[in-house]
Amino acid sequence: MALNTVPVTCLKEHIDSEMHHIRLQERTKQHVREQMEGGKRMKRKMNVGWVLAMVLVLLSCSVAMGSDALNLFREWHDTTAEYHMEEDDQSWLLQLGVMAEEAQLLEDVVWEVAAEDPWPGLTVIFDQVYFDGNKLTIGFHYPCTTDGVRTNVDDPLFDERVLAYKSEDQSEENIYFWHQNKIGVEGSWARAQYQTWVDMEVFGEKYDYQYGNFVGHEQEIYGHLYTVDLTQIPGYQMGDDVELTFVAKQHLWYDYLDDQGVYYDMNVDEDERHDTFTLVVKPESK
Amino acid sequence: MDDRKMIRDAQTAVVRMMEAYGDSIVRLCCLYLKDANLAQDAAQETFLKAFRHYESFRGESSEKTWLTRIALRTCRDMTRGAWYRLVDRSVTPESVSPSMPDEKADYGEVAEVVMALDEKYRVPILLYYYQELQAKEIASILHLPIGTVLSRLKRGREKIKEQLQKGGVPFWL
Repeated sequence: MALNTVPVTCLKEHIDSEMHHIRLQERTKQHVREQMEGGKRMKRKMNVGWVLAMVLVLLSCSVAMGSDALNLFREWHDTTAEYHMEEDDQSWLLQLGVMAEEAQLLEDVVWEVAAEDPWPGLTVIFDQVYFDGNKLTIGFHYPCTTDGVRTNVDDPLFDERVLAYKSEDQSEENIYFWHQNKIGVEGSWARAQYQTWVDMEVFGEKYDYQYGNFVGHEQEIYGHLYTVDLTQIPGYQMGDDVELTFVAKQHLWYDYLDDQGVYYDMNVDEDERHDTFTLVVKPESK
Repeated sequence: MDDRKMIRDAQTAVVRMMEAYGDSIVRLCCLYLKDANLAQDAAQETFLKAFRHYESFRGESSEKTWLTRIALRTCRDMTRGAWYRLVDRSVTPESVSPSMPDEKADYGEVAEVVMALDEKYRVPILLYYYQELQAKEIASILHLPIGTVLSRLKRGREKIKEQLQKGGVPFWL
């Protein structure tokens, strides 16, 4: 179509006009209908017998293997940590298959993201690693009190909180640090926020901040999980070391309302600070 | 409510949603993925996810917002797949053989400009101007402060304007 002018308010009309031939195809609708008719259950109901059997198997395995079987030792220095997984542990995990995902395997590792003016410091605690040789799940949390206020900030003007957001349909939850400095003046205000989040990279695959895998925020735990299906990563072979790189990103945004009531948004997308941390999970036998 | 009734209700709702929002969702996926065929897959997956999780939809946001959220997540997951990156997206419509039954040969000028935006600008622009969501809803979907959404919309608009003007298309805000 010929375009003389494109008012942005008409962007939808233009795109719809340009893409009028792109429609949800009948065969796509048909696939959806067929799969819905396939009798897939929307929600898997827990079978009490199955759960009991799983608990019994887990208990018997724990007794048989002893707690040592789950002990992994760790070394970490500066911003690098290594986990060594005993060969027996790995084979035990492989035998357990999906149940291995339920096991907490590692001691906590603490990553102190250094404070760097104006960025505040941050503590990240890696407290869960589930690894069955193919699927790796990393969990971490930020320590804070139950109401989400961190305790290590003395400046009364500096209101630092961990906020938990629930999406409108409650299907996902998002957390990030929100460091807010409010300067109240009658009729005006200014505030600055430093958001922090942690992304992960493994074998060159980047995993941005995951929204849908929230662990929960009971008591002092605010955290979330990353899950990596290693079988989907080209070149990975079971038993390979798994090196994970975590990047803490801090982002500054500030805005203010002047005494005339005019709002100014001073968001600076490019102004981000990164700090990285490497975690290696490897079989002890290597 | 028994399972069968729940499933029937979900099927009815999803069929209705496909009729009401199908074209809009598949175009959104196409604008995100830059590939009309992948967009059909993403839309199919979106409606199947809606079916599987219909029980959890509480009507606190509109159906359209809910579907948009699922579609975005589906597209995002697809672009993370290693295979996605192997596809050469630098191929121009002109270089594609006319015998190929590919819808992407005719996206249109404005759509192409929007597709060329960085994701951080493209997604808010699509949600605001194409899906016609409020900035507040977009902030919720993208987990960004509303100020960031507004800022990205502003920059996105500027970039669209710049690109269209480069191509000789007048653009006014």
